[in-house]
Amino acid sequence: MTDTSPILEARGIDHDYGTVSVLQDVSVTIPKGSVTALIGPNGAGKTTLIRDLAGLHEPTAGEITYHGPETAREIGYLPQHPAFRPGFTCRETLEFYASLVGDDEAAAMEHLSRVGLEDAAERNVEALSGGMTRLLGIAQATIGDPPIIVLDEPGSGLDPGMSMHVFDVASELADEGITILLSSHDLELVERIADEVLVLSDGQIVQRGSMTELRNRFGVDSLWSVYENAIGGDLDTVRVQGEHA
Amino acid sequence: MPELSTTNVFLGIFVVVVLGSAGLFVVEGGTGPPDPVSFDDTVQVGLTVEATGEVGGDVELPRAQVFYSQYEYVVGYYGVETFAEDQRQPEHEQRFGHPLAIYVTDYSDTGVELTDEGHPTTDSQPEWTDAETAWYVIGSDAETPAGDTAVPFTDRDDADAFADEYGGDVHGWETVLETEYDRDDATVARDRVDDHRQLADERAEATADLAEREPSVVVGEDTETIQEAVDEAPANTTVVVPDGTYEETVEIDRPLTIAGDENTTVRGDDNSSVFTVTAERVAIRDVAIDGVGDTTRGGDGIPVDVDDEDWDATFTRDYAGTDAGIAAYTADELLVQNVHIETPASGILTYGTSDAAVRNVTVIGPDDPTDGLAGILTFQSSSVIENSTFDGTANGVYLYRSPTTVVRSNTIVDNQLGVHLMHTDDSLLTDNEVHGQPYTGIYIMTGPERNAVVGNTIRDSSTGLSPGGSDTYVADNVIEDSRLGLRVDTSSSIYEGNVIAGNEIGADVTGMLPTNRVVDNDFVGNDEHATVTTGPLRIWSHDGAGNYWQGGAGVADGDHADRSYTPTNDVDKRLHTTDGTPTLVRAPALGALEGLEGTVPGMRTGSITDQYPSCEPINTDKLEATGWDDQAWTCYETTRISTDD
Amino acid sequence: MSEDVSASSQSATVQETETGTDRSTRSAPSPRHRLGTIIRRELRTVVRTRTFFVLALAFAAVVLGIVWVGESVQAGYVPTLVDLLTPLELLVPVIAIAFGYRAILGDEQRGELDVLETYPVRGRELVFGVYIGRAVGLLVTILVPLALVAVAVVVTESDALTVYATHTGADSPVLFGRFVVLTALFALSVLAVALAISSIVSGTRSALALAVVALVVLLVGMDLAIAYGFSAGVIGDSGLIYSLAMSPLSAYRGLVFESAVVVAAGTGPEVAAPIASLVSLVVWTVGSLAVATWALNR
Repeated sequence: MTDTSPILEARGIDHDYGTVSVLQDVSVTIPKGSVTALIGPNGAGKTTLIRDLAGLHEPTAGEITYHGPETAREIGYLPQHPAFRPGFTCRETLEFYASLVGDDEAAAMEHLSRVGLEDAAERNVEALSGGMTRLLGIAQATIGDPPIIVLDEPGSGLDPGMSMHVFDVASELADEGITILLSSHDLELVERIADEVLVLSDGQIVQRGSMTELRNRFGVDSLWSVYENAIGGDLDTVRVQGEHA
Repeated sequence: MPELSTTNVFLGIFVVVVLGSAGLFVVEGGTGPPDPVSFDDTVQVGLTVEATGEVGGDVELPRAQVFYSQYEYVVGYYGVETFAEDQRQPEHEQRFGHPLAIYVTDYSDTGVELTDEGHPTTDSQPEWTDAETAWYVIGSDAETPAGDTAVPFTDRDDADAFADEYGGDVHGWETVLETEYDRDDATVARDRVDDHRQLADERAEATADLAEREPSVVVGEDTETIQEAVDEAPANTTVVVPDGTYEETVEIDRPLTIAGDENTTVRGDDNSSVFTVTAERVAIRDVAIDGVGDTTRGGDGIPVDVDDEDWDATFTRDYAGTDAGIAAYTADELLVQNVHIETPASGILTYGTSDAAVRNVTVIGPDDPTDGLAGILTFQSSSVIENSTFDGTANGVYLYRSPTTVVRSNTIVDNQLGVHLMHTDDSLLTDNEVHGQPYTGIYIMTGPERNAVVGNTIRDSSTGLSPGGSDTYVADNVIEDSRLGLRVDTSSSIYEGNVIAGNEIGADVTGMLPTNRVVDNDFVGNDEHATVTTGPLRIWSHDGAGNYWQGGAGVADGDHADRSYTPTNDVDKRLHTTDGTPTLVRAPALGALEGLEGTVPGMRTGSITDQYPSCEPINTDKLEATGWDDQAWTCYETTRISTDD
Repeated sequence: MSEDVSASSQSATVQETETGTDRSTRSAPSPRHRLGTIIRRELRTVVRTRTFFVLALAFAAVVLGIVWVGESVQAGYVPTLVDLLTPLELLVPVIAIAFGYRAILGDEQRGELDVLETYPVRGRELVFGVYIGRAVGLLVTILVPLALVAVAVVVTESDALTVYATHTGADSPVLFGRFVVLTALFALSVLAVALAISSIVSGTRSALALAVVALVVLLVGMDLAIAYGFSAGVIGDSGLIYSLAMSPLSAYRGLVFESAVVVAAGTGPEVAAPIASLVSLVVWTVGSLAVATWALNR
């Protein structure tokens, strides 16, 4: 169920860290209910753009407009390396976040179950594996039922099975009408679930479109080939623009 | 919603706590003013025991009682003026805090009248009333034994009526506090010592000529016995007693001189006094006396009237009848010189005898000193006692109600008590050697005033020096080798220039009031330099100067050590005996503890602090004489100046 | 394992569609509710962190040790609080800074501050909530030993001679109560400073460094500066009492003297300007919290 009206718009985004310009004139339109994926080499500015779009920091120039419904929590966020305050159980952690949006303990448990962590509810967060921490992070991102959920490299560092599970969860969220924006290096998984793909390189969006459009544009049949073609220059080099956000 | 009500509960608690906390600052610290207590339960200041005993039964002296913010005992003052003077002393507020409540005797509705001496008598017991709202008649005929006094009334009319009858003016509390009354302080005490020395010199001079009267009768030539010679000789002449032993007792009732030779011995009948003197200006010189009776108390037939109404009638009757080598009754200007007395009871007794001189006399007591009474016992007499030796009696020199006596340059050894003062004010004990008393070297008891103990050497006793009373001046003494060197049982007294060395306990404070000044003394070689039995913190420094304490001279800061010294503190007191303590004592933890210890001294428990302990001994000559001077190490200098030159 | 997880996630999906997700607009809970949430979390953290417990025990041991060795408990409330004043002046800031210097920093390092930005929580609510939560822990740490000391004073009686009438003088639990309240205010102001440090720095090492600097400035530097200014004549005689109020330590010390000690001791030169001192403590507290909020929001 995708409604094509944009729920989040970014126009002319520049983001500088001191003298280093990490994003230059980036414009993005996120359609409602879609899964938008942001891909690109290390140092391209993906995390900076993600954080700008999530509203975590202000871009140096440009505008970001939210067109979604007015609600307590408009954008949910999963950081690249989620970490939670030690000494609390999974349930207590989610209850804390739930309480911030006015939800109760039952709702917290619901969110836990949704990502499949209900058996780990009483486990302390410092005792979770990497994958479970990531799932907890996703659960946290969904607290308050935000219309948009932003996931920064949700599959990084996870084993293939867990990565797939995480992306499945994202996909299920999308099925419920939640707009998903994610960044990832896992092109196969992106291919599976993304409606819209943005390729970011050197601080600029070099390619955008649906999977089909991109494949046709380059006459290839995989996102990897699209990526190869879209990123000019040496794939072996790391482009350093400045500090990663 | 449950969350909300929990929040409300917390908010409620928070508000209550905040209001309560604020309330703490609004409320008066402490409960309301305390109620007055019985005067007998107070720590009393202002009159000697003797004076309180002297006034008659129905006399009600004006009194005040004060509750101080920092002193846990209630202080009772004889005379409102005593309090007014006291609270003007510079350290008074630091020691006692401020008065929380002051009560004075209220003479309203008591039918108060003055006796001939000016003491107030009443029909009913006066109540206590708040001092600040009472009215005071100042400058009337009313007196306490200590002098002029103010008379308080709650009712202004009563005050006016009293003033009409007995003179004086009616004033309020503020004026009472401001009015000047006579008061002693340190310089006055030192001046008094000089005055007393002079008085002693005068007495000695005045009686000097008595030794050299014209001889008139020679015993053995002109008469057989001394008594016959005495009866025959004209007044103001000398009876010469050549060498020999004369077995008789002699009564002298006219001004005469009895002069012995090199080897004259007068031997009594072991049953009474040997010489009994009842006239003034009598001199007895150059004789040896023994055969004295051994009655020490309750003798029969004293040739004086004892008024049974007197508060000390029993004591008088008991002791005034002691057998003595020379017993003198109302024998003013008596001179006893170069006399040697062996006695089982007393050597010399003077009763009611003023301006006597006892010089170069030796009194040897019985084998067991507890059997005898006194080397010399002066009863309501005044005299100078000098250059004499008192050995082995119960009381070497016993002064009973004998103000202005001067005891100087004597040797007092092996007596139970070396020098014993009872109810004796204004005396001077100076330059005596007081050794070997098994009980106490010098003992001043019963709370007298204005005595001075100066320049004596006291050693080898159980207690060396126990001065009591108020306005006592204790200076320049050497107290050593005793179990307890100095017992501080005085109030408002000054201790300066003393060397206290080699004792088990240097000084012990037993007086209730923290009003003594103890400065410029040296404490060396004592097992414990100073202890306190009870009471608040005593501060033994004044005006930036303190005492020298062996062990207390740490790092120098000018003339004094950089740290205060607390001889009652467990670590400080071992600085001179135990290795490692100088390091421990500087631990910041302990330093933080002592930093404010001088604050609210009146509220602290029994201890002594010297805030400016001296870096080096103060009385070096006297200390050298004790041999302890090489143990009196000085401060570590903090600035090293090259000593090559 | 991934199979198990995906199985349960499928059942979760089934549950989800049954209940349906209501993404209709919902309003944020009241600020009071949000504050309460933050406070509860901080309280739980304080309780569950063993370091704070150890710190509290150490503090209690030192305080009780001081009154025991000093023997002032036998003498009464005022001598006890006088003996405790200087040690507390040094210890309370250390404890308060320990309680607060990583309070917000921890969340920041973990990235939870970022996450919290997406929630309807204002910066000042976060700061205030963290402050209250830590303050409760700090106050319990400081007040419990002081309460025990007060009990010790009640229980210990010095030997007064019963021959003489006695009274307690100006000694009173009210004065000790004032001392306790002032110590609490002092601790709270230093905690606020610690919170400000926590918000400004970006790493633990710099937090520690800045905390040490703050401690040195507070404990030593400010009073030294005032003393120097006074002796050099920069601070005049009449101005000293107000300059003193600027240092939180001197403000605290002055207030204790003025409201608890002077009552017992009597009069003399004014020991402190109480209003100025109180205002100073409040300014340090509110100002530091404001700095923390500003640092958070940038």
